[in-house]
Amino acid sequence: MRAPFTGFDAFLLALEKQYQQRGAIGNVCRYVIDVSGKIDKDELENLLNSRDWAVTLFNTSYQKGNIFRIPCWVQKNPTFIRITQHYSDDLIPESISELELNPAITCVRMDLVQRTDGSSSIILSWNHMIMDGFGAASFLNELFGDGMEKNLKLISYEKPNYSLKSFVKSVKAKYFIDYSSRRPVSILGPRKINLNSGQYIEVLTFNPKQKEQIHKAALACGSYYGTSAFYLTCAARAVKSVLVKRKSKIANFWVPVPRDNRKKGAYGPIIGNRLSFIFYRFKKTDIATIRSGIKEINRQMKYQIKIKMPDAYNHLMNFMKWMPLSIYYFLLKRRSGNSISSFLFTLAPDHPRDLQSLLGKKVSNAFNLPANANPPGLTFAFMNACGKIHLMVLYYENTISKKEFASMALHLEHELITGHEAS
Amino acid sequence: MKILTEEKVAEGLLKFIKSEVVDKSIELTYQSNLKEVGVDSVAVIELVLFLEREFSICLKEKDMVPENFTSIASLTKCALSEK
Repeated sequence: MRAPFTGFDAFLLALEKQYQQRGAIGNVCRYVIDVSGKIDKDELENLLNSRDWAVTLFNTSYQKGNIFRIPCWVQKNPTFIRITQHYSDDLIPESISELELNPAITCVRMDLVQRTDGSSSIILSWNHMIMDGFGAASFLNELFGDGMEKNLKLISYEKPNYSLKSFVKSVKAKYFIDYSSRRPVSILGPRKINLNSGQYIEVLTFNPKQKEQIHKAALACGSYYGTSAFYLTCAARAVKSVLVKRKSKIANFWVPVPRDNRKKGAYGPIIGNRLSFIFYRFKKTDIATIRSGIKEINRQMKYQIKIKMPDAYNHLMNFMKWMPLSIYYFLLKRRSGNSISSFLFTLAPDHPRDLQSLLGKKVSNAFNLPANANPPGLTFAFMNACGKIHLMVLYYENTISKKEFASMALHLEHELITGHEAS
Repeated sequence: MKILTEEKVAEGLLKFIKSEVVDKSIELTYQSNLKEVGVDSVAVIELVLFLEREFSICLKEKDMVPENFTSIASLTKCALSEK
């Protein structure tokens, strides 16, 4: 198997190189599935190794490109996939979070965690370069799902359309990104990659009753196209509340929000990121109230869909993947150091409905944790799982302190549930 | 001037969703629950823009409620009430 990188894979490779040069771990994502009852390590290992496509995924690594060839994914000789067992009550035990996933060697691993209350958790960790959260959810659904044939696609490469028309679109996307990310942009932490800062993961869970309240509040505030504009406004306002307490000057916020390019209901492809972005820029006055924030986000979302910005972005990524990484990174950041978002925001794919039990044990919870790039060092990820909404907040201590986080979390909870501005 | 019928709008929406929004493996009818087949906020905007572009139907704010986006049938009914 040999598959060229997608445009987004190459984008993540450029970021990965920056991390590696500084000795940092990079873009690692995780999917945690909690089950009621103990899972047997051998049973899990046997299941994983009985699926050829799973073995292929775990034995896939990246091969460097050259002047004539873009980087690609290659399959190494298949080896038996080993699962490591851990004993901890931490969401992500330190013995897992410290492990590196070097895409040139291995991109994916699975760990089993035994909890003191007799339950177990399965943790899938992967380097973002090889797949996105939607790919991971499809993979887990296929591995542990109902066993029905779903025509899962592990890999599928569509040759990009390199034409003058697509080049013009890509230039348009580049200008749009540069303009929308222009300084000044507010950010909570330092703009340089920081290695000595501790990372924390906090999960705010909203039960089914609160979920209903959130949906009602979103609609009442004008979030007509689903809850995403409401979530983004509340997150931006929470960040603003931290800046207000710090008495920092508040400039504009710039937030690129990823979206899945796959057709809805598609099973895969798993290998290769299929993401593009919608870019939001708002002034502090735009988010003076929740309603005004949503109105502005709706306007920008509708405008970018209308001018087909996500498509233009895909063309840009396809052209840029032919560039040497140093030029790529320079173009990404430009001399002024643009393109650092105020914070990261994502709507993680919902936990698959078909995945309510796993190896005969009931799934009690699931968390799809994105990578938390630093800078900006603060990520908000929303997902639906087991009838609840999880808001996962990943942050570095050089971005926001624990005390500030606690205050920000209260602000967020209040605004999400009530739809009224917190004082 | 073309006369818009319920059938025409519903057929247009069905074709658009099948070709642009959902995977070809998804079975879609006029009554299918759009949320369940994966129609998200971006897809909702695409549907709104499709109605504007193809049928010159502009949905009003008051129409932007989840009930009207439950299925192609409900969206068609809502769209034609604006005409």
